[in-house]
Amino acid sequence: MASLRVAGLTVRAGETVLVSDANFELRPGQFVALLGPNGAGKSTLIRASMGLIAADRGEASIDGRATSSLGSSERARTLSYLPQQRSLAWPLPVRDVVALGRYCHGLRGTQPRCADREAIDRAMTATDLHSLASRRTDTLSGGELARVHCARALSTESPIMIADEPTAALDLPHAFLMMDVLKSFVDDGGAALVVLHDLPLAARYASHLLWMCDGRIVADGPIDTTLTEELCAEVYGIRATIDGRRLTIEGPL
Amino acid sequence: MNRAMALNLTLAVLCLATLCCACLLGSTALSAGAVLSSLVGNGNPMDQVVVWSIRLPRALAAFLVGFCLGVGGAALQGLLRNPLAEPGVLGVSASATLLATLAIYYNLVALSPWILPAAAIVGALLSTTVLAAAAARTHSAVTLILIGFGLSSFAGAIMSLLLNLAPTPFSLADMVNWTLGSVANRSFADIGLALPFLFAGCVLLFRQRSGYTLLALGEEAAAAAGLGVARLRLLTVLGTGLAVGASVSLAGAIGFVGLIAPHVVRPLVSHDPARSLLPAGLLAGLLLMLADIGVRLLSSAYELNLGVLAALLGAPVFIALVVRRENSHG
Repeated sequence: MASLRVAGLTVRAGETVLVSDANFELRPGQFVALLGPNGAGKSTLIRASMGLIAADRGEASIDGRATSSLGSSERARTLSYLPQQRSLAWPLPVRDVVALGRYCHGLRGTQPRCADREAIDRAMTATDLHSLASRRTDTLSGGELARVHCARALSTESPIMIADEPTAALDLPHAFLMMDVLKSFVDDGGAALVVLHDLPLAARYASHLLWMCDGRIVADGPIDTTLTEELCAEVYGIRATIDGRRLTIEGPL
Repeated sequence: MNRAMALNLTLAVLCLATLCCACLLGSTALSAGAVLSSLVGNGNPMDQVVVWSIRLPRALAAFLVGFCLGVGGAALQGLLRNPLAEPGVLGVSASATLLATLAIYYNLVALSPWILPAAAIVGALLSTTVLAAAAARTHSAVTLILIGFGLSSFAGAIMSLLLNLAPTPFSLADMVNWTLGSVANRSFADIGLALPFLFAGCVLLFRQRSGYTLLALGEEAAAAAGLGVARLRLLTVLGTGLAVGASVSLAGAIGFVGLIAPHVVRPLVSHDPARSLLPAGLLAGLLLMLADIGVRLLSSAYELNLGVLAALLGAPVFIALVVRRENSHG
């Protein structure tokens, strides 16, 4: 199992500071929801944490090794990424897309080894995709396609998963299904960092919350201390009432 | 045996059969038996000359040029994640032709026979580099096609300038032949000059093929999933530069085969760009051999150029593809 540690991470684009002095840690068994309005720097933070873009200061490391210094395959084996973009350049069959998650384990072409085949099968079971295995991805609904991408990330069997708005544009049943899949990944000892815009959904599933506003992390911690009406007001400018894990949005401030 | 292998095998057999057919056809009537015995090295010496010095190298050149363009087209489509990418459409062939023509125009080819393929490869590399740099900045397929169009037009304009300034009608005819593309009168020596580059380019591209499949996810997701995107881009630029440059040095600019062949084979290999590389190459080789047979049969008095026939057949397919793409994207 591996932990992701981000220390003093700062990312600039020209004069603009996108992420400023971010510090947090993601440990096995944690389901961390990264919250914040559009433009808060969430996507930049996760990209820099993965080492996909260069940080101006600070460092993100997995078990003491900087993510930017890892080879691309090694990094991919430790950390799988579920991006927002779901469109595929080619209408590959579902199973072929799921198999792409094994690229970093050396799977090339269509002759998977035993370990690859098992991992692909497990990922497809977790996302309930077996019935769609040979369907072309351009014939799938948005929800089905989101599941395919999730299965692709799961088939890597990495200890850490980072997801950028995995429930965006999904209907409620699909959003719950997606969160359930991520939850069981965490329950099996994985660590998940998930960008979310749906506060009630985050309140329901996350173990920890990471609040971002204007490029800064303004709150970080277990959900019982970080799920507060004040933070909802400060970060999103909304009025919310919180009752345990139930969050109800009343309206704008 | 899976479907992709069956497809490759079928195409390979068809290529071989077409190669034999190409040796049978021509102004000198040769029987199948005479061709066969010439091919294996015994037979009447006159027939041997016809087969070994005229027909076989010509057919082989058509196949190799097609193969390069097919593989190069499939690789560019994989890298740029776009079915409209093709060496001809993107101006790679035009740039290679321009530099090859420059080498002929300034008689640099007299220095060494290697200058011609080298010049064509440099030209191809220049344009693939521009395209890859542009592709890293834009995600718009239209922008890329327009840049390719710009490259083609620019190379075409300089070509016209050269044609205007051509010192003798002879070099003018020579240069026109280059821009139209032909494999007439190619010898094994010509093929030998292009072959090392062609081989190196295709091998480079084949080694990258799984990366093209991963790129279907988009560059960021592919990078996160373990792909060295910058390396893939560099090696694809190099590979297509070598393969397309070598093909241009052998036959001049021949458009659209690199577009049509991957398009035809893609549904047969589950739309996997990696698995489309080899069959696209074989099919493009087959198409060019057939087109060249057509050229030889159609034109007896005036030689019709292979590139002209390829464009006549290929350009409408290109337009149809653009229209269909437009419709499917709303």
